Amino acid sequence: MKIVFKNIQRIQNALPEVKHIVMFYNNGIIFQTTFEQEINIPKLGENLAAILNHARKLYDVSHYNFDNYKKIIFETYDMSIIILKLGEDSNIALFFKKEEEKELKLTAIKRYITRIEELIDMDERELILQDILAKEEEFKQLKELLAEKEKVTEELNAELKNMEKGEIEGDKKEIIYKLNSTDVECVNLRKDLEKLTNEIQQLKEIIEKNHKKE
Amino acid sequence: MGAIITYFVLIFLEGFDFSIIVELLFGSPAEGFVNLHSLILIVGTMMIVQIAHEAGSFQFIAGKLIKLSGGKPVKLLIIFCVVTVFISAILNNILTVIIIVPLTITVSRILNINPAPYILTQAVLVNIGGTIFSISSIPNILITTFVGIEFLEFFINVGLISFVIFFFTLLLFILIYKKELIIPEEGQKALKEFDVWNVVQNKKLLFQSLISLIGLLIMLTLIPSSFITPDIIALTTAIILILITRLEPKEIISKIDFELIFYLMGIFIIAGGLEITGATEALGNFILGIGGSNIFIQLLLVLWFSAYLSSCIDNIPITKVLIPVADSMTETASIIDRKQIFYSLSFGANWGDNLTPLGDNILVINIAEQNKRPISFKSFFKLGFITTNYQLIIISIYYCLIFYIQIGIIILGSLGLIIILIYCLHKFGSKTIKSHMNALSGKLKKLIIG
Repeated sequence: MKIVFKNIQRIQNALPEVKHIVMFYNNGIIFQTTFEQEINIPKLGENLAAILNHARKLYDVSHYNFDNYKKIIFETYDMSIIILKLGEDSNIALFFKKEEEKELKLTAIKRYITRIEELIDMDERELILQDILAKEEEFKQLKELLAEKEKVTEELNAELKNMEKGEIEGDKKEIIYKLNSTDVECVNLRKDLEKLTNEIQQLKEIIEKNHKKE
Repeated sequence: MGAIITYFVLIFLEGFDFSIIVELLFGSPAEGFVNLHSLILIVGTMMIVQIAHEAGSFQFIAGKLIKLSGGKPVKLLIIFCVVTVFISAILNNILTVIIIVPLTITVSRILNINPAPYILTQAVLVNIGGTIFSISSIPNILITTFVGIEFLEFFINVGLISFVIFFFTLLLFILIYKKELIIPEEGQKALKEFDVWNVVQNKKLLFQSLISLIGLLIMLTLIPSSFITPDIIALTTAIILILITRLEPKEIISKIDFELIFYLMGIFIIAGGLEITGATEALGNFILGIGGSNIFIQLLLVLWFSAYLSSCIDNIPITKVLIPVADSMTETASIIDRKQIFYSLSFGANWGDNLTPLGDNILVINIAEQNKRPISFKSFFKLGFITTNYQLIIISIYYCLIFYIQIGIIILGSLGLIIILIYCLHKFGSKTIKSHMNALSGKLKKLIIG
């Protein structure tokens, strides 16, 4: 089953004036394109990425923010190009022939573009969310382990008490040794849990900060 | 700057003739113009790899192999590592990193995963690739040209051992990262849609450049240097490739790293100046004083000394300075022992780079940062330091096996027993033991990658 290519087909069906599509990353690597191998495809990707780079420099020099660019349009009499931002690092370039004064209906293809972006790009926020999920899972496991150790501590304490009362016989030294080592393990687990809590909090703050910036 | 200072010191303070500078740059007639041969070999191989890089050959091979993994996490790690070592065996470390790291990040975006484990392991393995062939890195070219080590001889004595070390390093990485690597199924499907042919400029150029590269390796293997020197083979192959591809020679020549060539020439002068003034001989005598005439101790000293030195300073000047040191140390040694010392120098000088994130490794951190996938200095340092020492220890055990076979067998046997014991305890041990072992392995993992 072709996933992404299906969406390219859908874009071409929705917009028949689009002759070629290029899905590329900011480093110039092309994910997929409808151009044939006769043209220099790596060069095409490099040049498209260079356009974005130059536009960024242009904005920087004029002290404007380029970060949330939406689209760049080059219009000529013969063939026009729209470059749309997909995700954090991905873009889609549509090569189309403009007929009469009709504008290219981008709303018709918005859902396909969103779907492509989800499939071929992952922004930093998602990466951080993945990290948070992994740490929360680790937190849960450590907490369960701590609960087990605390239960063992309780049992050992009860055993020791019974030994001191003379109700049961056993090696007191061994029980005390086990109690001490379990105590140390519990202390270390609590430290690890605290460290994880802080790390998760820090990651959540980063997401919050980035969200506010946008 | 160092070369200019050396020039003034030699001409005006030491009273040498200007011809000494020419000799230092290109080597003396008695030495067979060894430095000039090195420079021509570097230029020749640079031209061939530049054409192959422009054609997208390495990116294509990397992409094809990555797709073969089907996005399975451990398979992907293995393939990334293999591709890195393979590419770095042909290209220099910088170009390897420039090709492989952005590709890794792009693939990670498609797969919706964190690229950090892959990038870190690649950055460490790039230097192993540098010891596969005699042309894989500049230190190797300098060593083999000086000592007169044939291409095949180097591959058997250094390259094959590097493959063994690569295998053990890969095992370590799989052990460390196995549980961290998870790839969503949708990402695996999306990877199938990535068209690898999009990195190829044109198919004809791709095949021509790959055939030339393979041809170069075959010729270097089969043709003895006494018949045709490696630099002439490389330069001739480059010229033939330019002619058949009908590329503009001007365009290819403009992409040669002349900055590196001039840097090398400067190193030749500085290192040569140190040799003439007796500094390298003094260093050689100092090392001899520690190890005496015991070849095993000398090997270990050269290995660890060159590794730690090249972690602080670029490995090219370190190699150039240590070549005459190794030469003076092995004046009375047999030919086999002499060559072993230089192989040891190749291991140390190439791999020591990973002991710190300085040098070429900074480029990895920069590229990751530029692609919005930052890697911390600390995590790089931890993995690089631990892995490199692990590799140096394995090589040291290998030398022990060669020179003191009983001790080597005892060490290997003990390590084997420990591994079997750990495995048995893990598989069949009580719950308490398993829990302690898991906690310990978790702590070790956190120490390396946490």
